[in-house]
Amino acid sequence: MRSSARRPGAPAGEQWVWLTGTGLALATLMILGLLILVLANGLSTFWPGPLVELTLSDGSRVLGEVTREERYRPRGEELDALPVERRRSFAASDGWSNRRLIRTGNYDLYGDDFRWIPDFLVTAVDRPRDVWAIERREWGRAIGHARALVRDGLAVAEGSPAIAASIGPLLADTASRWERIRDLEKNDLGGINTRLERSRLTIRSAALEHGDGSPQHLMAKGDAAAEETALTEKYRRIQEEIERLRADNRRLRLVIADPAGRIIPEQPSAPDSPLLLSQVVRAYPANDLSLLRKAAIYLDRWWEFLASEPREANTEGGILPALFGTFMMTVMMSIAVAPFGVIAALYLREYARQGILVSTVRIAVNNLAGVPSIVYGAFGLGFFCYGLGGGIDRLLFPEKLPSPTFGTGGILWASLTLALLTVPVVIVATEEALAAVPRSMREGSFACGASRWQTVRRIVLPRATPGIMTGLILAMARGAGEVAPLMITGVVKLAPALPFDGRFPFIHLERSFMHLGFHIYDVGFQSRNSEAGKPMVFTTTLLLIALIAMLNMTAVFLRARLRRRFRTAQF
Amino acid sequence: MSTPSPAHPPPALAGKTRRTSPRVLWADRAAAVTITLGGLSVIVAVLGMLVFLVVVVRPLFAGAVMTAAVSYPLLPAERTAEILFCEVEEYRTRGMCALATGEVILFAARNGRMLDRRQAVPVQPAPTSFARAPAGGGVAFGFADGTVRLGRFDFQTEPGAGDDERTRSLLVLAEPVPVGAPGDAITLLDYRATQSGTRLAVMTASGGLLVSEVARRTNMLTGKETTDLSSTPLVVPEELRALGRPAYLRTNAQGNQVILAWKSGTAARYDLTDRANPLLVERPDLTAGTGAALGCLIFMQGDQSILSGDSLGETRAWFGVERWDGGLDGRSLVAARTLERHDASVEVIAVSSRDKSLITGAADGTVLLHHLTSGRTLARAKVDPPSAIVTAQIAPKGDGVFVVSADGMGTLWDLRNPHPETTLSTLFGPVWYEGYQGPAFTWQSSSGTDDFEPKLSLTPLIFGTFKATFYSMLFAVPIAVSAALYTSEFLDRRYRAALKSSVEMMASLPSVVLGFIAALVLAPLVEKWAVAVFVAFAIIPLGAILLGHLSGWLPRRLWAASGGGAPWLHLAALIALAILSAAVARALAPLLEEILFAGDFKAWLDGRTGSGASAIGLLSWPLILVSLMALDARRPAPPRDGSRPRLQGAARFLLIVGASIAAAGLIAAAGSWVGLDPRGALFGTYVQRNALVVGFVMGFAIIPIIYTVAEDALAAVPDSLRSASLGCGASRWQTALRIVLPVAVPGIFSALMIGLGRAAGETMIVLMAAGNTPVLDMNLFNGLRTLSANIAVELPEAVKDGTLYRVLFLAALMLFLITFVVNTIAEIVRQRFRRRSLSL
Repeated sequence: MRSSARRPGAPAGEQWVWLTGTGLALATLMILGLLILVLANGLSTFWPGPLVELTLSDGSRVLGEVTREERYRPRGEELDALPVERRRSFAASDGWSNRRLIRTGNYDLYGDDFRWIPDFLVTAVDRPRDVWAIERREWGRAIGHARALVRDGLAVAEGSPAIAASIGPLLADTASRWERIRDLEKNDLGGINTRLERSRLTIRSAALEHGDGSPQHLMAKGDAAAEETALTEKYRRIQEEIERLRADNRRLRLVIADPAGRIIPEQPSAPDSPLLLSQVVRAYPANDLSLLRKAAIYLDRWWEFLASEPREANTEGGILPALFGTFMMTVMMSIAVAPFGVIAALYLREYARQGILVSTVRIAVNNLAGVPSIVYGAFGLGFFCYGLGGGIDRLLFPEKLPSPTFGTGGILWASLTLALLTVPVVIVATEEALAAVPRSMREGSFACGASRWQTVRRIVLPRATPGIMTGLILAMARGAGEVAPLMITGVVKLAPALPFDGRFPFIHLERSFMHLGFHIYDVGFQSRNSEAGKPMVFTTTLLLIALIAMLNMTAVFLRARLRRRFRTAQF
Repeated sequence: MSTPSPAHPPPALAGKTRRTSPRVLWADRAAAVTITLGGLSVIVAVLGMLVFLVVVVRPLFAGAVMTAAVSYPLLPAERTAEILFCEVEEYRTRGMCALATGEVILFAARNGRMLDRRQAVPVQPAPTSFARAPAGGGVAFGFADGTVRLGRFDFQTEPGAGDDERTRSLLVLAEPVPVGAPGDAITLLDYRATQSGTRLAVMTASGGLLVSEVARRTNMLTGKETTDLSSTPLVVPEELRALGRPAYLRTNAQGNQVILAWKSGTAARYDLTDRANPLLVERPDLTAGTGAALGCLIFMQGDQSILSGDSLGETRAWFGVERWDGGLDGRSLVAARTLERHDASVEVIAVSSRDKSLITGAADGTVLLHHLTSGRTLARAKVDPPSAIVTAQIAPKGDGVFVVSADGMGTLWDLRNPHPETTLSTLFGPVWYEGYQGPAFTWQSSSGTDDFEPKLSLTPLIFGTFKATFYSMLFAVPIAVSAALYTSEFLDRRYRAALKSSVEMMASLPSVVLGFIAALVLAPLVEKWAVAVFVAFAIIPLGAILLGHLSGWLPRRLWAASGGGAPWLHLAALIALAILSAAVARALAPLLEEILFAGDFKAWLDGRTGSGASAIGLLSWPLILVSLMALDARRPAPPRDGSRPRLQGAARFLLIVGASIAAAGLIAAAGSWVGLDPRGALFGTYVQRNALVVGFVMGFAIIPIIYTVAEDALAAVPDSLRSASLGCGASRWQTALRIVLPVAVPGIFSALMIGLGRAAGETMIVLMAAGNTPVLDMNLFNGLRTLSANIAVELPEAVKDGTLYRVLFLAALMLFLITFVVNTIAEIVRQRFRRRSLSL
């Protein structure tokens, strides 16, 4: 198989080189494919696509956005309903046909968001200019022909262009009123409820501490009753205000009709009253947009995605709570993991007597990094939530029992679990960084009379800092991407309140929280309509990958810097 | 540097001792203590995880303890024969005994002090039979006048009264229902309350056997209660009547089974599924042919199986199993389980109302606590002084055992029995559950019905873990190792660093992302293009080899990667080749589907079309191909005459491929002639989320880690070895295969072990892409559930310290140990390898 130099041919076994190269090519291809898939889907989600109106052979029309197309083989009964010449054309194409998945929206009217339309049913494809896509606060998207904008039953604007011209400020008005209502409900009424709950708990703990019917208990009861009267009055006033705002918002309505001429209703139970403008988050004439307008909508949706709360069972709206939850958990985890990881590594490398025991411990710690995260999750649930949390509840919150405060999943326990999960990573990285500090520098320091702590603090640690940081960031990246242990120790699909808010004591470590990774799992698998949630999942995925890539890049950058510094430090 | 003792000028200061400032010394000591303590505690805490898991798991295997027996004289010995039942209430402070005379005795369960005694059932007509519902305090009395009275026996707590007076027993009997003919005494009686009313089975003194339904209705207007009674007579054949009076009559909650049994063990089983036509379906021998006398017969909690105790001390559980030689309903009673033997006749069997525990009491006073499902004896005790057990009860909360023996002594034990159903054999071995046709490995932790028994076999989960790991390794190892080999041996050094760090970055890609892609993008795609995927698996490597053979004709810089030129071109060419091959595979797929799978792959998998021959061929082909290639590689090198055409290599290769296809075809024909068909075992019905998809994506998840570690190992092989080999005239492939690879094998092995550990513990991907079906099925196209996914799914709902909770912790412990052992092996191998390669 060998060729002479004058006759250039492949050397022996060259085909196997090509085979191994294919392994690398496949790995690269898969990585690229994954990234492109996530990027393409994640970035295109928010771009407002055109709406098409398909006229079907039975005369009905379907309006919506084309989500995707595919080739398929129609089944028997579908074919039997067709005229003979169509069936013949199928026979020619071996029974295959094209079909489109149309996002029709109007879940309240159709009971479904999506519909497959085979091409052989379509007689005409049209892009009417007067169709609007409307994102609602409930029931998902509405899609239809815009007829009029109505105030108190009188048309303010009729026809798509007129509506487009006048809807902006009106929409802003109703939206701001809606925000105000929500603010009142959540903060003011919520605050009152919290205070009522607190006074109930005061009574309970007085009863627990001093006994049922003791003077303290009765006094607490009296105080609570006085407070309750005051609060009830306040509660009533706020409710009046909310009612007033609601009434204002009920005056503006948007008349939109689906292709069959049915008005999109305010509620499925009230088919005759058109959509309220206050139910609308965003509305645009999808086929009548300039590129600039489209870009504006695109950016606006990104902003909404990043800065607002989810709605529609997490398939619409934003992911702010999940983003915040991920961030806060990662920070808390880092706070827990950094000192302990570094101290453990310092002990192993600088203080412990090197021997079989230490190297065994080192291997064990190293291997803990490979123990499945779900095992840490189980441990976290058993030890932190039920063990420590249950203990804290019995000691500090006996009045709330049996409903747990700390004795169940929460952000504190989730962070500690992840800290435990990532502590081996930090220990290993720190040890490596410490080992990389040349022995000569330590010896130099000792020779100058420095104590061991002085050497560690002034000589070793500064050199090792980039390495330690690298380990810490890698640990953060791992922690931010973990989902399995969190599912057990405190992540929820929809957290009623952030772990950080304006109410005393501001940071609520016992609260459950939302997380980007779990959000992906939840929306992709647990929601009513995984097809509707898919774009959101891709965007969330993109965000999570970007976050972790950013952390990793930082680590790589630090490592590169460390190497450079090292080269100069070698003497 | 703030050293307290400046190093210079030393000579001038000689003789004058300078003391280190106490602050420095103090700081040094404090730091040393803090770091040592902190470091040790972190390490202990991390390793303490293992201890914690063990502590949580341990009670599973602890068994039951019966302790602190109190015994006291309860009744005169001669009256114990009259006992219908005795029991204690849920707090185990009060007990009561009902006697055949209709008397009810209330006593303090701790010391036997008599608290109350009353005639609860009228003396006339005399009660002649008695039955008790399995739970809820229901009782029924049959009377000499042929009537039956249903009622409730309860402990009633009256608040406020003194401690002794607080609990009273209460017996409320409803109006008599005339079930038998007037004056025809009810001799045997059993009943169950159903939603529509009450189902009674009675045997009368005249030998009539009846099944009756009693429905009670209250008139809304008058408030008057009316009772509807409908009876169906059952026929007792003459030859059975000849056996004398039957001793036991039992009916189940569904009301479709009635069992009439004689002391000799002969029984008649009636099927009442069709109420109008009751059938005597079977006449089993409940002593299993040993000739013993039946001592007791009772339905197990849940009424799915029946327990018999006999005079030889045997206790058997009989399951109704579908059999070809079964009774008229296609079933027959099978002694599915034989519990531990007593040395004397079994007198009493009492079942727990909470789980599948039961106690048996024997004539010699021994009491055994069994668990039906696991078949193990949980605890044993003996009454003192020894005397036959007359009645027994497992306390309502399952925390005590109360028995009365023939000498009139009552004995109460405390029972700690938290996890009766788990043993190593129920967790890992096949278990014959009630209602099953035979022993099975089942994981089913919850269900909608109350009578449900959790089935906690870890075997399907362990199997699922191995299945997922196997397929992902099958996918990942060839790609990762060959990629590592290529990167370290053939790729230009300039690209290595960038490529490696980007692959490493892929290792930190969250698995939830991969799981999502797997389930929502890849699974439908693979389902649609299943054949194309397999074709691509064949075509991509074959295409690469073929192109390698032909590479001599290609521009030199394309293949001479390390010999100047543009090295990235080679990789780009390979990527293009992979894409092209995938396209070819996609185009070829319909044709191959037509040829091999009769045009419809899924129908073929179901076994609806085609034959097993193509499966045999497909399975044997890669093996034949690889062995032929290996044979080809071993042949001696041809003489170097320089005249060999370039095409020879490619031609040989194509010949080998062709030959292997032909050989596979032959084997397939032979196999199908013999009648082999792998469908139903290795292949089977296609499920969208299956092991194949998991293999792909989990393989993808572990490729980076295997790649990195393997590449490190290969790169650690000293360059001197390579130079020597190349200098001797070996080609770069020969160098890589014969020199570098053997040296690096331990390192590559440790890479595989690390990958294996990752795959075994990976949670989110399998949770999302594997369908989560805990089945023992080899089928590549079926779903699976792994230990890790199982923990994630079930732990949030598991009750703290319950059996399921501890079993899930056991699963976690197993995962911990598996990965820990695997990683430790990998680490030790790697360290030894590192030392060895340094010495080379």
